Amino acid sequence: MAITQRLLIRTARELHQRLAKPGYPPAIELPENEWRQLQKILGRRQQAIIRHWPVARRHCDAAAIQAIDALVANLGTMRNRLAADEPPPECSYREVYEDVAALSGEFADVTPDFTRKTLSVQTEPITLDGTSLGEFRIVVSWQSLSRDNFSYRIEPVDNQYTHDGSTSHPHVSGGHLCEGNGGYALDRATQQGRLFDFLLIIRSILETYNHESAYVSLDEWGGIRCQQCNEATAANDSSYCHECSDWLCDDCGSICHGCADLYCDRCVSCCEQCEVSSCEDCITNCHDCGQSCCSDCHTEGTCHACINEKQEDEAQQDDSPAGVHTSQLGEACLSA
Amino acid sequence: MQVLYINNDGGGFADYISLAPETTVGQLFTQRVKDPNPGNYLIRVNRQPAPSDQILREGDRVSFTPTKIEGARA
Repeated sequence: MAITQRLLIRTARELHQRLAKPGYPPAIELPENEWRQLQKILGRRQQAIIRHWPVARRHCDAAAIQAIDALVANLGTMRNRLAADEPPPECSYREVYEDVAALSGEFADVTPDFTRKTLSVQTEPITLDGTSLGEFRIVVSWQSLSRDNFSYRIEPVDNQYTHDGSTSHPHVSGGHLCEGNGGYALDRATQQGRLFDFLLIIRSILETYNHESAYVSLDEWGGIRCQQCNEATAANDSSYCHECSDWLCDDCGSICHGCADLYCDRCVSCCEQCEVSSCEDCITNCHDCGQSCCSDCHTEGTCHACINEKQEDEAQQDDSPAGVHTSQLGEACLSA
Repeated sequence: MQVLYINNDGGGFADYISLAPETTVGQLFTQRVKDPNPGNYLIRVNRQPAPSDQILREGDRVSFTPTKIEGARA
């Protein structure tokens, strides 16, 4: 939906009030940590030379070369930043107006909200590697907008595409987009007050999948998160605990030895006789010793260890001299 | 002739540059962007989509924005 002329002027005025003042790029800092690190290594190297430790010296040489490389790389980055640090163009009202006006040609919907002090644009449906993620709203808040900071959130238009009910995009977590390779270009657009470019860059990030660094891989998208190990797994490879109904992946949970159903680790106990897993219904505490035992390890509530012990006692009694019973201490019964 | 040239790739760049008169969008792209495929970029002149043979005018605002930019995880 295109924004009306009246709303466009009002929105541009609100944004320009905050973007007219130039922003300041972050200060460039000398690589002092790398320098100190190199100094320490060279100090250790000198000690190794004085003490005639050739192996330690070689280690120090290798570490020093690595530290010098890091220092040079850091200085190179600093140099590039200085070389590219052109003064920001002026951010005039006309520029802001034209930025907002052009958004209607790029996005499915452009909506200013003067109560929430936000400008939101809506993308077309996004599909990454064959996985539909639906449309997204990029919501820029002008409450705290400045040329140091464009505050924004990413919101899914329809929650049916979210993974596990919480993650809406492989590179979005809690409404926050991890900008990755787009970070520097977004910083530059922010400092120069280029809202139009800022939103196009965000859209390009949303339309790209980086499988090496995603909050949730698309391979797992639409799957179920195992509540024991917290790994996402395809719905086909998941099952649930028969006691508490928690979802479990293929690698988690235990089969009860008695009933052969699946249970999570919290809902099974271990038989103290044979150490197999059993659910609460299939495990019994021995009447005599109180130990937990599975269905195979007890008979009518008494564990096999206690039964064996009783049988051994009885056998011993049977083996004692005929006619003499020592049922009471100090007494002897004699047969007639 | 001066145009505002914006490249939203990598570190980002935006400044006025001098061009020969009658320079086209395609020529500027070839001069400034390493990627040989313009299809990998959103090419806008004065914030509107522009064909590669469009001739640039004094004061135009030209922007090249990659269509694919890799995000990350935190």
